[in-house]
Amino acid sequence: MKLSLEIHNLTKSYGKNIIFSGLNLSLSAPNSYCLMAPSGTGKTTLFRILMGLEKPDSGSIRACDLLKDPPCRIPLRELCISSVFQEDRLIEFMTPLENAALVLPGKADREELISWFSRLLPKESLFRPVSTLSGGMRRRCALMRALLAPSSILLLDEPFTGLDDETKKTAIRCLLDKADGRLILTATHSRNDAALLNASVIELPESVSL
Amino acid sequence: MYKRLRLPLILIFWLLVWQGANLFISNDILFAGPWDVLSALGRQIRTADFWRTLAASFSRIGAGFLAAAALGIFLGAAAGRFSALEDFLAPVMLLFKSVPVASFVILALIWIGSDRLSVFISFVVVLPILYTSTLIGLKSADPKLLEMCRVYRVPVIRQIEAVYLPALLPHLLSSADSAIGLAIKSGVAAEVIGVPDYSVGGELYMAKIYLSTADLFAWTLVIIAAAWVLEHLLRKFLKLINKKGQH
Repeated sequence: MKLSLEIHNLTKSYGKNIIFSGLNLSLSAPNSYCLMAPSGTGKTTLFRILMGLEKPDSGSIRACDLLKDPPCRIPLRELCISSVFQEDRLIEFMTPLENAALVLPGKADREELISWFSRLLPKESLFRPVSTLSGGMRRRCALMRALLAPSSILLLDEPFTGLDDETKKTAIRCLLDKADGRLILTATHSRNDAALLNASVIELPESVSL
Repeated sequence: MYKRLRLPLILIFWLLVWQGANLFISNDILFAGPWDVLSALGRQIRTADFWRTLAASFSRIGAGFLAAAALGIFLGAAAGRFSALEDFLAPVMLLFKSVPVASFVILALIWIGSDRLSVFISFVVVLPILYTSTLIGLKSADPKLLEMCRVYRVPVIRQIEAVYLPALLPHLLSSADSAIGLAIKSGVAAEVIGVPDYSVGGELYMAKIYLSTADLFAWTLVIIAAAWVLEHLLRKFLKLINKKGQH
């Protein structure tokens, strides 16, 4: 599938705090986009709306499969989404491999999981509960889980927090190798990340308080 | 060295206090010393009726406990899933919690007689405890992890294993512990009122009739010991289940 997302006139506010109003975005796979905006300007909220965890006040999001002729519309809730949340959201008592297997349908191919994970994490760490891993290792584990899950869109909310430059570069290489033509949307503060990800930059306007 | 001796010394001190009180009171009806209790216990243990009484009482209380645990966990899980059921059951559980055990005992005597009395009583005492802790445990499941499961479409059975059970088990562990103690105490109290054949409570009642304080103390020791053994067995069992959820 070749996904396109048309975000039209999207508005969301919490009380008097308008997160965004009249947001228009046109995104399509297999491109990579970076959402650049100061904290608290609705990157996470936009992601949550895309994941169906939050409802917009108004506006619409249309998802289409461009490979079909004519392009056919997909209901948002049928869209398979992989997400790296702002927090890691891992199952603490499970190993990195088990965390990935949890989100894969059917029985996971263990050897394949190991070979992907060992690109980002030391091999011995793959068989320990994630509660024993360092912050950076957990972040990479959450990223790997998102990459391995079958999906047509990757939502990455500051996926490289806590990673040093070297590991970040490895992670980005791995991300691009496993993108599989998916639409990639990354929230980040750093222009450097956008360049490394080879992503088009989208600036979200500042949110306003009435 | 000091640490290893501390506990035995403390125990010996209190045994001496007990024996001292016995010598001071020096009345077999009002009080029994450690030696009297030990010999009363020794007398009892050698009889077949002692073991039969013990087995009968604890199997009845245990049956009530297990039935209440099964139903309480089932209802708690269902109420955690459907909040309408939680509201629907709330008055019943409140009733079970607030009605005095003695009232339940009299009611049960009228309804089902003294034989299965303690099954019913331990059931009534345990049900609301395990129901409530199951409900609270499920509600303590991390909403962030549940969101993650929703986004990745993790099947329900895997969600139970990964998110719900680890949230539930610590709550269940601590409440099952206190529930079994309560079941035994209230079960025996019910037997004292109902006096069924071959029951620990019936023996306590006999001790009262014959003013045999040594027997009362001996049976009390037996109850404490049996409760301790059961609590530990239960804890071992739950730890075994919890092994996967250990962090």
